[in-house]
Amino acid sequence: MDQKIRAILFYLSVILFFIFLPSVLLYSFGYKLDKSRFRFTKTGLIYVKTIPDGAQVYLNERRLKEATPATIEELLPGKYRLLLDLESYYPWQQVITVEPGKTTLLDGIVLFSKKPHSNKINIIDVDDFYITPEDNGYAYCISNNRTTLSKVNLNPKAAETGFFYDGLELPANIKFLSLSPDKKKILYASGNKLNILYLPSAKESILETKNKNFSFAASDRIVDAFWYSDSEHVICVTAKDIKIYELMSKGKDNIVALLELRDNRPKVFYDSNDDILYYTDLQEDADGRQHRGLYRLDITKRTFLPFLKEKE
Amino acid sequence: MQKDFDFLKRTFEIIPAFISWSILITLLLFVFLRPMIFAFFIITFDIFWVIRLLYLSSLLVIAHRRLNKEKKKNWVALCARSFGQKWEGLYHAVIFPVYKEGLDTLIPSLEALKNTDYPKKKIIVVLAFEARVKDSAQKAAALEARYKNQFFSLLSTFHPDGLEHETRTKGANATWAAKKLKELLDSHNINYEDVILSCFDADTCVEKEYFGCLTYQYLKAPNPLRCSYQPMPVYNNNIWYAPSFARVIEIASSYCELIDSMRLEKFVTFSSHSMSFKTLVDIDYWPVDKISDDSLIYWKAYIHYNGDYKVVPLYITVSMDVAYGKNIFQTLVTQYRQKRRWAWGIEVFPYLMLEFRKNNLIPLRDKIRKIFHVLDSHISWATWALILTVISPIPLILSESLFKGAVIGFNLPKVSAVIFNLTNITVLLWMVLSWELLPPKPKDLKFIATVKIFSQWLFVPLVMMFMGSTPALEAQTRLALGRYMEFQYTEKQKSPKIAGVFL
Repeated sequence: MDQKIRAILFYLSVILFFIFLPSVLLYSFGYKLDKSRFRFTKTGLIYVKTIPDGAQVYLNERRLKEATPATIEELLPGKYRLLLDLESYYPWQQVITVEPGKTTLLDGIVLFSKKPHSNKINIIDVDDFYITPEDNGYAYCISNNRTTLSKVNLNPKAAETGFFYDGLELPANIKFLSLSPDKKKILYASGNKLNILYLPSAKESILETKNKNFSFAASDRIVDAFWYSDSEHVICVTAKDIKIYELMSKGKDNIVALLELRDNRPKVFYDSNDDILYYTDLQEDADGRQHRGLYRLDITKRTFLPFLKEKE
Repeated sequence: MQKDFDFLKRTFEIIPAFISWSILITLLLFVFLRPMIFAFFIITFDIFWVIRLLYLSSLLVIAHRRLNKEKKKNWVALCARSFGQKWEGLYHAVIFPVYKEGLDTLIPSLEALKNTDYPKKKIIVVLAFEARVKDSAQKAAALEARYKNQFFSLLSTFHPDGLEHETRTKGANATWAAKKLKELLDSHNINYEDVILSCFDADTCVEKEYFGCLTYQYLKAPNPLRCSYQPMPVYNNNIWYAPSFARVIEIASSYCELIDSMRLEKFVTFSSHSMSFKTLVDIDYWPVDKISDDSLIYWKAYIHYNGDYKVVPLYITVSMDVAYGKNIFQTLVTQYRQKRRWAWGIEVFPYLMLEFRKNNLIPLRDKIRKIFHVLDSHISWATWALILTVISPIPLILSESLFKGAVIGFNLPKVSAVIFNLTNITVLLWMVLSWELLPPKPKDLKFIATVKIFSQWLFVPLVMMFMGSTPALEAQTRLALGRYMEFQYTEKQKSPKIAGVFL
């Protein structure tokens, strides 16, 4: 009896194998029975993933059952109009070409919300604000009357407050505001003046801090200004030259003129991690024509010191 | 002539490893060189495997049902009713080949014999010790003092080391013991036909009804001398104390035996088994130079009787120890070595090929079928787990670079996942069935032990990956390289509770 059952099971397994195998193989390799012509046709598929998920998928105006992420299989080769629709988001649509035996991957579609999520950050009376890479997650805000500098957490839910620094006289035309690497000072330019603003700390009174603030005039129109990595020097690029100012002498002494520039509108980029300044300058070739070149000025402490010696 | 024989023998020894390695290497090459063809093959293989698994699991359910049904029978009463006084003239001889096993292993086995419902005066026990093991004499003396008058006879034999043509195998020891048994039977004028011999591993504990069941099947067989009788091995002696993954491996071994019991054309003797003593003498005992004596005894009889020999399944369990060590690493090593020894059963292939060449009376069709079954089971053993767990996932991981945006690259992981989930259904089935085979939970263990015994099935993929194919592949490779294995004693831990009860 058992052997009879076994024989039935065996032949059933063989039948199952021969039914499933061709079906699964044809499906896996993307073949579909074209009923009209009664032959197998190689199909393609579209894989679509959106951010956020759950968008309704329309293919040639026909709504599909599944939402994104979705795999639309067994598509005969050709062009299809794909529409993705998610409530409260802007729809996305495009004409997609499906090739035989190929997968069309659309896995980075971003759907933008019709109702942007705007949250009020805990600060009022803002005239201007600065977000510096040196102090990620915070904004430095200037009040309407330009007498107050506040540091606020950018996360609206954060209970933490930074500082509230009032009694200042901040100019209206602030440019190149940046935080020193040690996060204790702010550098900004106004007109041809560079200003150093010391930030409040628990170690000293507001008055003591304010007394340390100073400004000094640059030699020409300021193109850009940066903090040197030690937070004790400022690199200033003007339309005429590149200079380094020392904070200890309040920008009056030990001013190092690194280079003179011929280009009165130089482009500059300062790599604060490595203390390298990239800039453009004009150069005259043998036949008297001027070319604008890109230069690299390495002012790391390692190279700076011998360089200064040479200057002397 | 001898040179030709040696050349043929070596060729046949190389064939299994050559096939297994060829399959694995070809597949690996195809993954990278012809990924499309590989995908075609792997889908075919996956479907074949899942259907085979469902088919084998169905056989397991039938065998399991049969085991449950026959457990309830009173076999001794059935013998008396069906065969009258015929059964009363039969003797049972039990040989326990012993190597380093201690009294903590041997006493439970003898206690189980003592507790059977078969008349003890019809049971002869032969404790087959190795003379080279120091404490053999002490163990023999202790056991004789304890069981001398419990059976018709209790004989201790000491197999001398280094006999001509022998290697240090269990078969050599069992053969020596069988020859001593023959002397004993001769001295009592007992016909060999009237003696059913069981050769048990030292840790084998029989069920109460074992000899009744064996006697019934023996007398029921049309030609009882042309049959071996194979009980279903389970590893219940210490299963509650063994580590989870060791349990999974041993339960899988029991399942293999149960499944094979339904496929009679493939069914061969394994581990503890029984046969007529007359048959054993006629075929000149077990091979004395081979490790796989338990399966080779069947093949020896099959060739001796020109194919007129079969194995009758006994739907009754004999319980043995789960092999495990003192810690996880030792258990892993112990299990690996044991499985490698079992996989050394591939030494049957060259033996059969050489013997079949000499024998013209076995029909060619039968020879081909038997050879195919041997190769199929050993090659599958050495390859399928590696294909499923190591080679198959490669294109799933490297899908993008291998299939370069083809539909198959996208569909293959999906199809594989569906097939994998289907195989999980069979794992659930094994879990349920294993619960029925388990002995009751020892009282000293807490409820967490029950949780562990269910959660052990989570180890199936890991066990498959590490223990599924590698022992078999190593055994075949060793045979191909001529690095022949010697019998290695499998260390088995006894739980202190189990050992303490009897000592």
